[in-house]
Amino acid sequence: MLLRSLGAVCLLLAMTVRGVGEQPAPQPRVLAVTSDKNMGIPAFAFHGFAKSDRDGNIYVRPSEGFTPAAVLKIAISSSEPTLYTLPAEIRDKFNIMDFGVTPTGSVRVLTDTADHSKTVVFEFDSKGEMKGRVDFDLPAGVNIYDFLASDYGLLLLWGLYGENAAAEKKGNSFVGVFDESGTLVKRMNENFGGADLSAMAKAPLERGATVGEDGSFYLANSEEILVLNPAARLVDRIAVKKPLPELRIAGVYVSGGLAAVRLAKLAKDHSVTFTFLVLDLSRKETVGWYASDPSIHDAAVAFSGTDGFTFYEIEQEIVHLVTARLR
Amino acid sequence: MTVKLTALSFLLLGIIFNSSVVFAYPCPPGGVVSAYEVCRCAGSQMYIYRVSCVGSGSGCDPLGGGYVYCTVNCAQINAASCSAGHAPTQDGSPSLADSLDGIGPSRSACINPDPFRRWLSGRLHRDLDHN
Repeated sequence: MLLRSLGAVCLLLAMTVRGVGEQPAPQPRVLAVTSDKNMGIPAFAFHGFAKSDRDGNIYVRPSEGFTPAAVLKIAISSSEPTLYTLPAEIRDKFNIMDFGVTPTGSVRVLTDTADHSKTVVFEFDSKGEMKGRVDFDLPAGVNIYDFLASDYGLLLLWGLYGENAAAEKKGNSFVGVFDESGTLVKRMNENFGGADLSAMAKAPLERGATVGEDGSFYLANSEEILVLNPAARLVDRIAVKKPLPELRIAGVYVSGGLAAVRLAKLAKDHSVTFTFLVLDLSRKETVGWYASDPSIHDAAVAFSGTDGFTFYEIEQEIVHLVTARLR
Repeated sequence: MTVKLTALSFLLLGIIFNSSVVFAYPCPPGGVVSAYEVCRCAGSQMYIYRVSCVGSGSGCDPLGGGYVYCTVNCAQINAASCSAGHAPTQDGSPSLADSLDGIGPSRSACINPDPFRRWLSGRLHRDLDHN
């Protein structure tokens, strides 16, 4: 009797283990294409990810053709792109590190000198005309990886203390909020996603950042989204539950009360495929896990809580903007 | 004999080139960073993550990094250097790719950047005329 009971328990355990082992891995829901617009622009490559404004326009930093255009805006409602160009005397002295777009569409270009001794932001209006510059004093040894500009006149710089920093600071995060005169108005003490510097040669940092229409900043690290209000106070934390542990957070978009977290799956050949985890920010719940249609190569993207995703796609060597509704 | 010498030269060149590809190249102080980039090949595009050097040390190109885009099937080749010789404000990838001319048929997979360059040049001139 005891043996039989023991056998039954063992069988139950074996079934349980086998049952768990046989569970299929979760799969993202594929987003159906809802529109496809030929933009009439010859295809080009660009650095990093696109940024977008509240109207769903896409902003990218071209990397092709030794272009003096720091940023190119592709408007889905217009065939006339806007170029944000730095004058030659500035291009000779400064490297472009990143750029930021406010929700209403003003562009800020973050630059530094070749010796990293000076960090400067150049400001543009929505027509692409340069309006001014802001000089910053960053702590020694900080490498900036994210740059946000809000419509409330604040700039957020997020980086890491790199190899040139003091030994005790290496790998620590730096988050500074500056006003438009370049004065540091808030420096976050919390750890916003530090990193092992030696790991950075193997994969990009797990992070993402964006600014909301209300002026709030959203910073994602490997586990959660941190919400700073327009006064740069930490007001909320939202856990990100990855569908699969090997996925890495590579960006975040916020619109209409939803956050779309870009998840990267890295392959050994350095190729990357992306999916999106959409969260309801007020309920702190996952709405769904989505992948683009296989016909889309998932390059640039804009996200709208009401209209869904916009992708940059190349067809016949011409840029197309392809939209896919969330629901 | 000539044929043998030529073949040997190619073999030696291949070994030297491949050695430079395989071995890591030291970065100047500042360390390395990695970032996502769009890679385009004929008829397709994909994202890769690119590893590059940080800093202003000897010959390090903070934009171009150590990878060349658009080779066979969009695979990357480690160029094994922080390519020297061009201003860091310019994009590094075309010159890196050019430096690998002769590697084989891989370049044929690259798309032609000239249409975009011409389009951009036209737009820039028009904007300048308006201003």
